[in-house]
Amino acid sequence: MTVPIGHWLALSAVLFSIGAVGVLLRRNLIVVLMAIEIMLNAVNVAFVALSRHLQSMDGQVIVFFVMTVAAAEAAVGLAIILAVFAQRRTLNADELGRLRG
Amino acid sequence: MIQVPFGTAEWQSIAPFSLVAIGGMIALLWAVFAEERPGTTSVMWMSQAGLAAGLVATIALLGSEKASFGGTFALDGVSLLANLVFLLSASMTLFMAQGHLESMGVRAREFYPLVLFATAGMMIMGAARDLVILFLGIEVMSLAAYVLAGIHRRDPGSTEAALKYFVLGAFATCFLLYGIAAFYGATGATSYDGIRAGLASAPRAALIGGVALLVVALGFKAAIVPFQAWTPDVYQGAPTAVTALMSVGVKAAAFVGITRLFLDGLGPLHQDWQRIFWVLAVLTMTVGNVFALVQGNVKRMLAYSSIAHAGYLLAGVAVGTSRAGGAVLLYLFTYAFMTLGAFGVLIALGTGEKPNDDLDDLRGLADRRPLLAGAMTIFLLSLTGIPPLAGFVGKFYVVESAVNAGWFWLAILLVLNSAIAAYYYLAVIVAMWMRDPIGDEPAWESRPYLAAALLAATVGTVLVGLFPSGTLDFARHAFASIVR
Amino acid sequence: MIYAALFYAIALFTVAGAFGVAFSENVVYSAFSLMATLLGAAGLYVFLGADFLAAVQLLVYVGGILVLTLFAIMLTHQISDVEVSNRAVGRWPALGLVGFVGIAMATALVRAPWKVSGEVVAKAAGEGTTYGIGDAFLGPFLLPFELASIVLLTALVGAIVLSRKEIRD
Repeated sequence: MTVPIGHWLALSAVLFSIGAVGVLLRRNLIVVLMAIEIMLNAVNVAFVALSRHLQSMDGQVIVFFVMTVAAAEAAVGLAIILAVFAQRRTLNADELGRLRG
Repeated sequence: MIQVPFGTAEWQSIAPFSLVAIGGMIALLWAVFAEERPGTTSVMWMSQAGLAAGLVATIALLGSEKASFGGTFALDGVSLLANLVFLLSASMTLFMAQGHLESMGVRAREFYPLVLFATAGMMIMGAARDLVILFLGIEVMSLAAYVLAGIHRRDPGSTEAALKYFVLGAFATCFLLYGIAAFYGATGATSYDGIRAGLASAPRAALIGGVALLVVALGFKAAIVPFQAWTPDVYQGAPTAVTALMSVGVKAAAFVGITRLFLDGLGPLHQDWQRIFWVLAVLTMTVGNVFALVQGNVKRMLAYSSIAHAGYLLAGVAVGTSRAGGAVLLYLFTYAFMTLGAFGVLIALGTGEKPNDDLDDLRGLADRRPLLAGAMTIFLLSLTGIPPLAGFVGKFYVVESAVNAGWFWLAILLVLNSAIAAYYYLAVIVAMWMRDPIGDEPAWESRPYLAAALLAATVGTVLVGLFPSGTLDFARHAFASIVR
Repeated sequence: MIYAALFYAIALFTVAGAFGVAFSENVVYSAFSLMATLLGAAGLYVFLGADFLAAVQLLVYVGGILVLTLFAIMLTHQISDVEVSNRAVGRWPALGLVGFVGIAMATALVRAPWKVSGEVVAKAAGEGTTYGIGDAFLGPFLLPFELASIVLLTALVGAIVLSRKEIRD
């Protein structure tokens, strides 16, 4: 009837690494933002599972703050992306290399 | 019935950052309703009033030492002294931005309230004794900083700086949260007291992983090598006033947060993190200095120089004694004055059309604007670490604390690095005083607020250098109760 | 047994969604894969007895963030008619990297000697978490709760500053 805590955390680690790879390898900025959301969700899964494991409510409460920040970051991030897009008409991060070097 | 913990200690501890945040909100409302009026001076002064309110609260509380919110939010010498650094850099940023933004065509008056929100976030970080509160403080500061970096929306460099800063900052946030989850899982707590209490019985792998994740996340915020890749681009692309805020306020907040977290909350693990910080400190100062050597743009050079200074600061953290903690705090003070001043001079050189911040633009500045060249010389000499200026005492006490704790190699590498740094700072001084100017004199504007800020930075750089002992004693004393 | 099977099914669904986001050719497909991940996470919360969180997950993530993201995709598509598809750079190296990191972390976590104070078990029905969360917000988490409002205010102002029509003279 039970799933060991290690499996929950492993699931969270897998989600986190998929998200991290998405951030590092994808070139479309909106996809990068979505990959960051996946990483945050991975963290949330870990917090809720640990909260259950430790029989303490704190983990679940922390998830609320993570969600708050995720929403705030999404709003600001999309605003920045749209501002860049309005200027460049591209969302390909490779083409945004003006400052490199 | 639940017990809500709220008494005098709570009111006192939140007063400084709350006043700044409320000041920001009032200035914001003012900015919205003053839309039709010409100029942004009134919004700037409203925001300065908010900062002044925070300053008054901070000074009134100096000397008090209280735990509030169940020990998760500190009111002590460290938080109060850090508040002074944050308020100083925010106030100077506001003065320096006045006129500078308008000449670039930035009309967004929300600039000023956003600087106040960022400052409130820094003050929260400086006092946080709980990872969740530290996280929220970082977010308040960072969200405001992302927007500020991109406030010049018609300049591709500015929006791109905002984008890079945002993507890497949000990425770092994920690591921070995963680190918090690791400590929560291992010790069952997020407050520094709870973590300390739970360290003994926690699984070691989770602790090491947690330390690594937190180092990555905070390393991004403080621009520590190898997490510094965003720094030069973001610092160069952002409007110079924002760069000044990022390289002083944001960095100082990250360092106060790191110092408190590792020296206090993770103090018992010091053998693990001291080694990491030793290596990262040496890497950071060396990489920063070597790259600064080859820059032809002074703003970018200062960006790399700020990475090098992060290395010196991290060396102080690695030493980890209360003496070293005090030295780090003093260093932040001295660093604030000289760095704000140097960026202020770059702002003064810019005109509406051109930033004029290449090394070639500074050639012969002494002939054209001797006072400005003189001020820049003082800031650069101080950044080099020439006595009796502020930068010297900052570095001196970090080295002294390292030697005192037996970290000779760290001290030697730090001194060697300062010698490398002297080369590129002196190159600017030579260009200003000994070379002939190129091209016509740009149409410089007179900006009284900027001039006042530069004067204050100069006076600060000289005075802190001559009389460091008061601040140093206070800072050491403040850390004595933290490092257990 | 059924319980455990259900967990692995939901977990697989969530991970598949994450893969879809990170490796799909088309941004719109990525967005819908993200919905799968978010729904999967909500399912996991129900599984862990975090009923209130699951509801908030649906409201904030699926109802808010995902819709916002879709709007952004549509806006950037419409303005310029750029090609929406986007190629992942080096798909196989990426898969190899994610496989390596994920497996390494997962094995470490499965094998770690976690305290056996309590396995994660299904919570008895009828017992909500809402009271506990409310108490926490007004008790030990009072300060973070207030700070969250400053986070939101800053984000609100910042997003408006960056996306409204620019003020000119």
